[in-house]
Amino acid sequence: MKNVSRLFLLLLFLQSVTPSAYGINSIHTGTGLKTIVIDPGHGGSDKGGEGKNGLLEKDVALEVSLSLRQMMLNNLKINVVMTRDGDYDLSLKKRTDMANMSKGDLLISIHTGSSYSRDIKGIRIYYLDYEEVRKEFMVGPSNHEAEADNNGGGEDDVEIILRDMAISDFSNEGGHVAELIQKNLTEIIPDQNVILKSMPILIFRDVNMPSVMIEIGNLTNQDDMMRLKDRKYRDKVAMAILNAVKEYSRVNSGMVTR
Amino acid sequence: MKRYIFVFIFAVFTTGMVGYFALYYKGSENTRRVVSTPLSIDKRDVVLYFSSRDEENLVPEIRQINLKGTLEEQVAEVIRELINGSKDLINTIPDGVKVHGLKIGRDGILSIDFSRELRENHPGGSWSEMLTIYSIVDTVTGNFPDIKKVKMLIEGREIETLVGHIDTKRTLMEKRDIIMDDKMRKG
Ligand SMILES: [Zn+2]
Repeated sequence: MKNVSRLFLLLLFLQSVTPSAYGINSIHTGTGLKTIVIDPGHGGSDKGGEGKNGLLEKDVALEVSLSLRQMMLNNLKINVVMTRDGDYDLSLKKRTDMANMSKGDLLISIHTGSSYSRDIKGIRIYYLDYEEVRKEFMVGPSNHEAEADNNGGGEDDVEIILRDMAISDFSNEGGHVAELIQKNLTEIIPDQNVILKSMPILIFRDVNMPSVMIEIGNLTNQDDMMRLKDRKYRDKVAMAILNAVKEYSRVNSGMVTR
Repeated sequence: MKRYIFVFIFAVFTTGMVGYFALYYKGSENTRRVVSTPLSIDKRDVVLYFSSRDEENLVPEIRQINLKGTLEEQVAEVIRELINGSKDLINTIPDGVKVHGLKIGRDGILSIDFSRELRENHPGGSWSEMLTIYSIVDTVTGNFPDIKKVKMLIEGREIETLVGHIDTKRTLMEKRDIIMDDKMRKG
């Protein structure tokens, strides 16, 4: 029984992962990107960060995500899937499942930042740190659910190799998108600090597509908080992300012509 | 790196023993207090990790602490010290956090059950979340080589994330590259 379910999982896995592990044809066919998943952070009882003036991360994230979606629909021929479009709780597991089920080519998660001290400000763009994920993989599957049901059962070698290739690919692509977003943000909002960072155990390591997470300003900083309140600033951020996605899409569709 | 930590712990232990015998032969009143259980080392240098002022890295702070009793009691004491905070660096544990309990299981997995304040009083950003998590993980794994991984709980329950960005359902391993000290040594 165990083997059957393992085989089934592997098949599911191959189906969802191999296209991008080999040749990346799900991303690079036709006009480039087909489906973009936008994920507004937090929601419902999870307010996320909170500004001194009561501005909530979950609200800013949703508003920016909705305008980004509208801009994408107006400017690109693609599907846009939102993980949430209202103010309600949504687990990370559900976000990941929704993204995978929609067979997205790119996931963009929108957040605001917060720091311990009030001086720290700026935009931060995060992508998956492949080396860090790999390190944990090599240690074995004794983490996560595997820990509870079967310790040291040993993952299938093929599965490990495929997963390894896929994660490395998603990580590279995610890093590329992150750089494009940084470039476009710096162009559109030159007086804002934009930092790139790689993270080891980001929430989206289980999604089968490249992903980035953007904290579009620090709610704990007075200047940033005022900007985040301003509709013009939020639209500029969305515009920069749209332009980055456009560029990314162009590069991808270019790659398919032989 | 593991070996380095081991040598460090060994050195601390040896220093402790020498100190113990020195006191013993002096015949001071302290001797009675020093002898507790054979496992315990009275005063020990521990390395606590707090955030740098720019909130980019963790920075080590060495402190002398009395460590007594079982390994679990010693770990609890070190975490208490981390919660007490630093004078010069930025605290990564919010105000009002308590440890309800902790236990070291098989395979060297340490489970720590924190009070709800760890989440409720947290500022919330993903990098602050990183700093909080790894100040705890790196502090305990760095001082106690027997601890290989850390599992964080809040009010007795497993948490998907602390404040929304980092997967804490998994057990967590040490992460040395966010420590300023290590970075400077490598660079
Ligand atoms: Zn967030």
